[in-house]
Amino acid sequence: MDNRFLRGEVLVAAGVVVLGLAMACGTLTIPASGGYERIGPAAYPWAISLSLVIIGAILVRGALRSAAPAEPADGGQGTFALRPFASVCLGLVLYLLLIERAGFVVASAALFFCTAQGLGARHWLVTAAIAVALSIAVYFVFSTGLDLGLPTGSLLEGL
Amino acid sequence: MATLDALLHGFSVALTLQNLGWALLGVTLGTAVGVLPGIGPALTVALLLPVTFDLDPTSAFIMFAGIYYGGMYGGSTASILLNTPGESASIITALEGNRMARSGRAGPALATAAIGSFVAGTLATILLTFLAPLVADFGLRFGPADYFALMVLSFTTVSAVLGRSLAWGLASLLFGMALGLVGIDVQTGQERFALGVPALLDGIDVIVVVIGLFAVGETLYVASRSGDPESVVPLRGSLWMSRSDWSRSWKPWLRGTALGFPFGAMPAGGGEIPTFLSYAIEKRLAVKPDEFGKGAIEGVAGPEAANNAAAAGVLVPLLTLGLPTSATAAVMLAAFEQYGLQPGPLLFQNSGDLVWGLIASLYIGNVMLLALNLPLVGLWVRLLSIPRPYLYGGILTFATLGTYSLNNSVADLVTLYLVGIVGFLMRRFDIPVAPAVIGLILGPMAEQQMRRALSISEGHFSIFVTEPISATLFAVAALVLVAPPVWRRLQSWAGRARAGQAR
Repeated sequence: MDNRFLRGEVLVAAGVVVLGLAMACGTLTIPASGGYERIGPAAYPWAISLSLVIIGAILVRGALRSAAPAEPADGGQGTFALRPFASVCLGLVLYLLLIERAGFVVASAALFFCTAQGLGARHWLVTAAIAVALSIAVYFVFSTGLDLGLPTGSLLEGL
Repeated sequence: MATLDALLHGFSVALTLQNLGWALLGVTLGTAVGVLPGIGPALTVALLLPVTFDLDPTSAFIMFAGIYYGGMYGGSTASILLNTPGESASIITALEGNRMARSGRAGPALATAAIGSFVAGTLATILLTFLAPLVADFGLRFGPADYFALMVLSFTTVSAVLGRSLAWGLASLLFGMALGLVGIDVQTGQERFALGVPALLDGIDVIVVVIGLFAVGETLYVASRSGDPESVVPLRGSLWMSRSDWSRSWKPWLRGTALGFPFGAMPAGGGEIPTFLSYAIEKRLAVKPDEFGKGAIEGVAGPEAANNAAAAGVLVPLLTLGLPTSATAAVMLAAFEQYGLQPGPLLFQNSGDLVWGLIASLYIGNVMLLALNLPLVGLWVRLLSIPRPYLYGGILTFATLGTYSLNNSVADLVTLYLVGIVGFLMRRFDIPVAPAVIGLILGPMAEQQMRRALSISEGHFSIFVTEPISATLFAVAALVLVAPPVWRRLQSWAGRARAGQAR
């Protein structure tokens, strides 16, 4: 079993604790006045944040102790392919930056291109062609057919 | 007889040309997304919710139900030919079904899965027809305390049943509940966890979370593991089941149905447990148990039937009590909310057309699915040959489009990505996703019921144990949490004691 996977599990479990603590801090700012029910809008958040801390602590302990952790879903060895992963992330970030500046078609085509190339599409020209064709088709179906106001973007405004 | 009248009326609703069209569209879409890896019925319904807003609710739910049932049929095709089950309940089908396919018996495997799904689906829908009105009647007696107890019970069972451990299941559930808290508290108008971001005041949209967990998380996961080999078994030979295939299949179908439906109908987390149980039972009862692991047809027939029967069972608590126990059911509950409908006992009284039209369409959908999946299976197999890079590129395109078009807001995209990263981590560390979705939708409802109960009792928590229904449900919930570890400890004590005697 890969050590990295084990360490990762400890980190995720610690993340549960941190989420609980952060929520507890947020709950402190909620006034705890109640009406007839005597508990206010803060009671339920308290219950959830404390449960998160407790469950998280149990998970951290379990993850530290487990000599043979469960295998990841597909029975793999906790391998991690960085480049494909980064490529998909790049596509998502580009989408976020482009959607309101360059419009839907450009943003969507960029996302499709980065995802497909990242996952190992063979010819980048073919991928680019599919990306553009799909984005334009989706744009027309959704903005004219379904009346969703997708941003056109300055590039295509003239068309 | 009132039930039969209602059902007949339901058929008159479902058999209109328009609604037959929606049912056909639903089952076709459902089968397609069931076959395709990386996209399932929960994600599909979530993506379709915004565009179906103007649709008549009855038609929309007939389509959603078609997607729900269709996903089950399509999922079995994928797991038999591809060996990468899309959803946990299909893992078992992949076990024997993929072996059968590899030894050239893909046809009979697909046939026993499809016919078994049809038999189980139809029988379970009949059970649903007669059980649902009874449960709805009983549900009329439920007060806020009882509803709260029921939700707590389903929280515990869903966390305990799904995934590899109770603690991870609870963590996933609590994550969903935490997301559900964001926004304005309905009862006092107090803002909670909005962090000063105006977009968060309305709360976090269920659709965004579902798309993030399932589409973005899944794509990131697949990207992080690219290079894993994957092969589609080509479909050869006859689709027909031989006489011995039939005689080996029909009993597992019936046993699977008998196992699946009750597990689905109890708030116990859907199809995972009954499929595992069915597999174990078929293995024990098989004439040739040594065939298991090498492609035994019983190991496909039983679990597939159990899976479909459980899927129908899940609709009982969803429709009669508004209690979802699977991710898809949770998204359907969100759909009810979108139309301003509240599933529960009153739905049967106020929206008879919708409920009975929906139930009738399940019978029709099953017939359509059998026809779609047996003769046309070749068509679906072709979907499996879509190159993965383009498939996931398309999934992300539609996921981001669906999210952005909700409010035309970039803030929703940021939420989508953050949830997507969490979804990726959950997938990588084998943490179940369904409890998070259920917690997100059911969490705020549970809070409301709890506070309503407490305002009735003027703040006394004793109301949860003095009401008989609530007390019983809490006891069962406590049992679900406490019993398995105690049982394990007892067993290890017994084992040690026996070892001591032997010495």
